[in-house]
Amino acid sequence: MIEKKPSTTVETIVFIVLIVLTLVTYKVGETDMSGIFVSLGVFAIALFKGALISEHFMQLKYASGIWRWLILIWLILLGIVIYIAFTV
Amino acid sequence: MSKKQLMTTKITKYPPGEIIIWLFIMAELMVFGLFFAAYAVTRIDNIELFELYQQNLDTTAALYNTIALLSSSYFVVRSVIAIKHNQQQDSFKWMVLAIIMGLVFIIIKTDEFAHHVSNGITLSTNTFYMFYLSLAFFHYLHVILGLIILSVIARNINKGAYSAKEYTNVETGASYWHMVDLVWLILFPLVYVM
Amino acid sequence: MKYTSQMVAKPYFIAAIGLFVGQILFGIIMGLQYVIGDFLFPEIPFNVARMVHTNLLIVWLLFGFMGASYYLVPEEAETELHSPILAKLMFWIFLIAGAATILGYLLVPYATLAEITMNDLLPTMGREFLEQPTITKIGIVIVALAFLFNIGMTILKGRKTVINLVLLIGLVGLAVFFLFAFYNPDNIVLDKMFWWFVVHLWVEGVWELILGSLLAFVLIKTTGVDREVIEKWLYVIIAMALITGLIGTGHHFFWIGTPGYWQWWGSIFSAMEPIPFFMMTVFAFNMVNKRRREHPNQPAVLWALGTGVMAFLGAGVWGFLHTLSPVNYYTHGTQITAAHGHMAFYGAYVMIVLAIISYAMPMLNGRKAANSAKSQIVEMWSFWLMTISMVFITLFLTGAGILQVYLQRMSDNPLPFMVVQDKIELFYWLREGAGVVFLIGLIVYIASFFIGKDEAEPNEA
Repeated sequence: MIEKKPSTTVETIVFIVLIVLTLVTYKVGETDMSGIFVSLGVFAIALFKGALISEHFMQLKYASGIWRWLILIWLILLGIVIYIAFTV
Repeated sequence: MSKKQLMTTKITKYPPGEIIIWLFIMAELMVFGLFFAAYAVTRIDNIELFELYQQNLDTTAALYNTIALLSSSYFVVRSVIAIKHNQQQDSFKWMVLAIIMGLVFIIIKTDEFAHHVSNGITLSTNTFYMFYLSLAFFHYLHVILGLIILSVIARNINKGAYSAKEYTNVETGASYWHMVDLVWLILFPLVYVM
Repeated sequence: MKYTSQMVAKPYFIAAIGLFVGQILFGIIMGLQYVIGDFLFPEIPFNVARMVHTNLLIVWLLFGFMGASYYLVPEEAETELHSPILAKLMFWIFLIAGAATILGYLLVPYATLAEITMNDLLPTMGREFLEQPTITKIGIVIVALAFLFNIGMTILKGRKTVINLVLLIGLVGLAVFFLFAFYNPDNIVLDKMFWWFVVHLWVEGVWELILGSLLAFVLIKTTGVDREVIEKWLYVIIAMALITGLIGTGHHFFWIGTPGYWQWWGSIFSAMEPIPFFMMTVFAFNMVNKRRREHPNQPAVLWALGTGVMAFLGAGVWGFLHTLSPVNYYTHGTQITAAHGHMAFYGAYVMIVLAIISYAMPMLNGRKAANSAKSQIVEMWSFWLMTISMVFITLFLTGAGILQVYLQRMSDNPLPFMVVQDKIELFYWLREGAGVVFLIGLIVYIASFFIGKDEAEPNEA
């Protein structure tokens, strides 16, 4: 039985957002912009991209309890460690 | 959440795929997490060294690679959605595209490594290269493992082994592949840009 | 028991237990020599006792693995063993070679042993754990090849299961990595590095595959849980064991002269080595909780669960304690290492061999599935006696180790080695006491084979 084409709008939008954010990060790297806030901004974008992957690609938004937070907690912890290491 | 969404999406207790792959994913993320943390902590005392050699890395190649992995992940998502709707041919097509994008990553990254090797750069060159090569190569091995998993799944989809009723293995492989993508998304800015 | 050729496992198991007794006796002798230095000197010097203690351990575990393979592989492959004769022949060759080697250690000085076995033609002797004369090493390779041939042919002609394949990969790896025992480079750094290829890649690499497959086999048999479920666990445990174990070798490369990046590689990857052991524990308890039957052989289930927990504690937790290079800088080569070594070997490898012996022996003795209730109770007593005394051995050695590290390496006025040894004497006495309890546990274990022999087995619930 072949069902009718499923909707993939959300996933496609997420994908486009991920590509755009990647290009932004790259452009920042290309320019002479530097400094701690630029670095942290770039990393914040990366963490946000990771959250998009977790929620929409890994489909953890449908998982309940601790499972949903597995990757998000990892990202948050990583963010804290990187923040501390780059600002001390 | 609106009523309509509640009807169309189902909240399940467990994440997609076999539970065991999630234990594996967590273990892998712990290894990478430790490596990232070690990188950042070591950088504190070697900021100038890290920033100097960071400039030698090929950011453009890394950009292409990021796009390759993101597309690959997206194609895997499409493949999973297709198999959930019994569209085996579509699912196979998307999976093959995902594998091709993974191979693009491998080709570009291999070229980068070859470049380093021809410049005589090794793990012992300096602390920055030690971290960069270790992280990049360890991730590279994961891409290869992921591609092997995706290839097996693609072959099985083609043989008609999966359907709207039985697609756990597709989700299992997909979850692993997204993890590989996720790690690269962190690695790229941390090692190449920041 | 489904295939008559599985019977060849029996002499292997008996020899394993016999050598196990020898190992523990020498352990007790050596434990006493820690506190009474000239005990049994000059008949059995400390270094000889130590060599016998560790070599016997390896040899009896190998007997156990081989026996386990001969028992398990035909049943998994659903066919008779390729050649039971070859298996019996190899048993005697291995036993005689092993016994001759041990007698050689005990009867002649080590240098003389090297001379009469013509070590100078191909020098391989003199390295810790690889003390065996070169001819013994060659004998081990021959036995291993014949064994692999026998097992491999059986697997080839029969049903291919994941358990059999993982076991075979583990056994082939065991044989391949042993070949580094013949490589003895002049460069002392390379020498040490390749020495670890045998020592580490055995116990923290390929042996874990053997452990995983034996554990999976016992769990399938005693719980009745679906094979597919167990196989999926096995895949992931094995993948994790290999990733962490192979690169984790680096934690031995910290101080031997290898490049600096090993500090990082060794620390990070070996820090993850507890994960596969943790998964094994979760795996074992999960499967037992999901069991579809109450297997009448309760001690076998107990050993299987025990091996998960104790391997995680001994190999995982106690390994992690001193695996990070900044910690290992202070602890390497102290009693902390000895504590870890004792519990890791017991938890991971002794207990899995005892689990499979416990599972298989009743059948090999012509019973349906289990020993009598009386015998089982005695065996479970031995489980607790040995396991708890091993926990205490580990704790006492850890105490000794912490004190040793502090007095000898960290305090403001570091003391010489022998002065420190005197100061931690109390811990050694306590450890010796726990060792005696372990021996009693082992005697009780052996007694369980003879108790209630004529009584019926408990019914399956």
